[in-house]
Amino acid sequence: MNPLHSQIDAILAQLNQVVLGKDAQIRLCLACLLARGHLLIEDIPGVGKTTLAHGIAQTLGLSFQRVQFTSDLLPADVLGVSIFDRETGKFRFQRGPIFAQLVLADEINRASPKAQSALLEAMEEHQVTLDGVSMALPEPFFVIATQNPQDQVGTFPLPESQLDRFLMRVHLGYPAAAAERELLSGVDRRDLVKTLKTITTTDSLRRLQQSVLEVHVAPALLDYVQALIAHTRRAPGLNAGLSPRAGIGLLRAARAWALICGRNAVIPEHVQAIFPAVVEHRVRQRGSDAVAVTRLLEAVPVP
Amino acid sequence: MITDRVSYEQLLGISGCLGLALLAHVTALPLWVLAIVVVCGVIRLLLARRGSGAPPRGILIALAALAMPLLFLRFHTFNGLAAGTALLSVTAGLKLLETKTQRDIYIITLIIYFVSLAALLEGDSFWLLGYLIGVCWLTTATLLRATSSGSAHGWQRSLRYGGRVLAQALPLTLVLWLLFPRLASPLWQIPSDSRTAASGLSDTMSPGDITQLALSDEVAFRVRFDTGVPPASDRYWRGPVLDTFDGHTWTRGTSGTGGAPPPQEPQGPAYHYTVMMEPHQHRWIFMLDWPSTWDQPRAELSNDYTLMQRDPLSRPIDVVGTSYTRVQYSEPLKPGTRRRDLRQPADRNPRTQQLAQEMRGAHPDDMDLVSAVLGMFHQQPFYYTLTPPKLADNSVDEFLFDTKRGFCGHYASAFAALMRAAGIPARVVTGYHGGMLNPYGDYWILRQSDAHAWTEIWIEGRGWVRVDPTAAIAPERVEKGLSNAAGADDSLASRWQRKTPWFAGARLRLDLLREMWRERILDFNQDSQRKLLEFLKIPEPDGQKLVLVMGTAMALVLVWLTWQVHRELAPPSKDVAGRTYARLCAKLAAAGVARKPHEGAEAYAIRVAHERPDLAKTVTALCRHYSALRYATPSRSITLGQFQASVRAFRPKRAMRTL
Repeated sequence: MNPLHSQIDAILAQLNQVVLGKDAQIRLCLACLLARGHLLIEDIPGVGKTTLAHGIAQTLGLSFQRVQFTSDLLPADVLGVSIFDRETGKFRFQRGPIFAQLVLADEINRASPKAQSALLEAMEEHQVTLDGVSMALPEPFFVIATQNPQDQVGTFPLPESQLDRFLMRVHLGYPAAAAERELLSGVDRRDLVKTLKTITTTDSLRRLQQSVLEVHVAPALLDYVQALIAHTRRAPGLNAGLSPRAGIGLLRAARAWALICGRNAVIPEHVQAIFPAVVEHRVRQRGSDAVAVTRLLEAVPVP
Repeated sequence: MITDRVSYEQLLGISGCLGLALLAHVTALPLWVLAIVVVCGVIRLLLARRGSGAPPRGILIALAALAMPLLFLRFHTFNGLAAGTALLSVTAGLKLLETKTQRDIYIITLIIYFVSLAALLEGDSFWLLGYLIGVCWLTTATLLRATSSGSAHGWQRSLRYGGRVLAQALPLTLVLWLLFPRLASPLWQIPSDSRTAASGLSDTMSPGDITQLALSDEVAFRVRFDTGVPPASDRYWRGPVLDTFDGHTWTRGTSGTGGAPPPQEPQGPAYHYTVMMEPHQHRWIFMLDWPSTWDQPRAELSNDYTLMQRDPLSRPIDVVGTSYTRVQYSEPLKPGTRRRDLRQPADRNPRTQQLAQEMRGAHPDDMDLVSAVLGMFHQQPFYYTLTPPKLADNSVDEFLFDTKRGFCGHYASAFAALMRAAGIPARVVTGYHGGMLNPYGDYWILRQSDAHAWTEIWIEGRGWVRVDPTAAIAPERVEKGLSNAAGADDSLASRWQRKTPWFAGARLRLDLLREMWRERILDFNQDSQRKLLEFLKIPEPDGQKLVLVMGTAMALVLVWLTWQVHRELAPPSKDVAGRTYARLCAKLAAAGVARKPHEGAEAYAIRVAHERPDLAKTVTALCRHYSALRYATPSRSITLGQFQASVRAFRPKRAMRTL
């Protein structure tokens, strides 16, 4: 077996111990990270979002910071601030929590749009610009944002343009009965996270990301992806189709998924597997006539 | 434009095609017309070889100004088939000479098509049609080469493509040929040339005339008997009757030909048959002696019982007729006719007249006299030969007393002259005798070599009685036909025929093909169209419905052609893997597990494995194979052929209903 694949399997196995019974979601999260995309986890509190993020950071050997977004959060609280140093008589930049390899932005929809956009710009450009000085963020750089969709009072829901910056949106959902039982009877997951082994170094993670780009994409698959994208733009019940950036993201996520599945070429099934997570938060559904993303998939024949 | 200039190769191709098209006219066109075209072509080619263009305009105009009067002098008209073809050919040659651009090539191509078409107005054999189709094919290929954008393709490819274009024209041709309304009589007549040679028998007979025919293998007509076939001794096909004798030549008198034929009562069996005449540019139609009914409204019996059409036979016709081989006349001979049929120049053939008087004295009874004369032919050393000595003015005297060598014409002439001298009305009948059965088609072939001449004499109380004096001298001539009796004088073909039976068989088969071509293709007419509509179950077929059917068929053909062109423009993807996979899915659908259109191959395999565990292994392998073919990095280990073979071999059983 390919050492890359064994590494991936090890990562998945370890994360599955942290968050129980959520194999598909964990795979999606990993695929998202391998595809160098940011992840939005949308769920009620207490289903293990933070634990998962923490576990990923630990497993992948990434520096980890958590920012709790609140309505009074300022951009400087995220990015950092310049402080006057009396001893040197100069301004010294105090780095904010964003200067970590994995940033967990908790309850992102609670913060003001100003704070949100500070984070999102950093996410897109992988750098922070303050007082005319640009500072590169560490590499690799991931943001895992969470939001609570049910809690609408006093929140600023992310606009679609901002949502587009997240490669995937994943729902965790309640655990299944068996997993719940294990949760209840087993050790505290937060303690477990601290005991996790680091499986990848920054270098090996970069190699994994690189091999995502090496996954073969046949012309026929491009046909299929294009047909899918075209369909979202024409399908009734949708206000907006997929943007070109979304299309690129879709293909990259599919490549990452293929790699996770141990394949060196993307097949339509891979595209279908990541399609809901990549597409759902991007297409605006018109009125109450919600178009299930699966129905979009069903409308496009596989070549 | 520089790029528009014709190349040497294009010129060579188009000149070749023009030459081939003109070859079909080689017998009809004056040689100098062909020479002009050839010279023009050669000059143009030589110029092109040297890299120079067309000759100056002045020369061309001078040439055209010279050629046109020449043509007019030769034909006295520009109208008509031969003149029109000649004009077209000369024009094509001149056009070749002035060819500069692609456009000129197109024009010459059109002229070639037209010249080819014109050849069909002159002849209608299937060889000619095949040849012309070949010429058109070659011309189309040449045109394709001349017009193809970019680099010219190889000849083979151009020919293939040209063939496809021709094949696409085939349905349209068929529809038009089958369904274009045909008129009972043509709307216009091609001005037929008076020069077109008449063939076969003529309405005069001098000693030696029929020799020419005897050597010809050309088919005069074919006959199909509906009921029985008369015995050989009764198969006399009646042609022109010659009743005027000038001592040397028998001619068909004009005075006695009008009026109704004398009444006769048929006796003996009636024979029903169809005569399939080849065109011979004369008015007569050969019917079995004696004709009684016929189905040609434009033909009638002359008073000497020859069936005559109003106009010369310029195209093949079929005549359905009835004949009785025995007839009885009830009326006496009209005095005018009697006078005519006894007349002969008094100053010619004195010895014959003397002999007739002597024999008449010895045999006062008419039939006795006939037997005596025939006995003389039989007993005295009269020879039958196709190369008799030449005879001078007193031809009958010379033949009867000096040379004693001749063939049917000599004997008929001498016999009739003797009878007339003896006071018995007599005349010479020309026509055909015998015929050859084509066992492959069950019809009889009458060739020019079957041409014959015999006599008829008027016996009081019986009427006209046929006497074939040639039978007296050479009985086998009457029984078997000329080619056997003629000995060493027969034609090469017939000599071969006897030596090599397979050659004879092949010839008969070929004749059958010709006969079918004539019957099915050339004779396709209004009546056949009506039958076709009846076959299509169209009630009360008429012209209007024919046009309707044609319109529908044309529309269908055009839709088909449009589709073809469409397909040509957007060729189907050569997606063999996809098609094979579709076949696999169809097989599985038939087995009860249909693929959903959005289902990927491997997901489908998993579902099939779940629903039909018996198929799991094969289907999973096949689907993985397809998935790899389609989506994986191309590699030599994943072969399409193997996939195709596996799918072909895959035979899923239908799902058993489990309880």
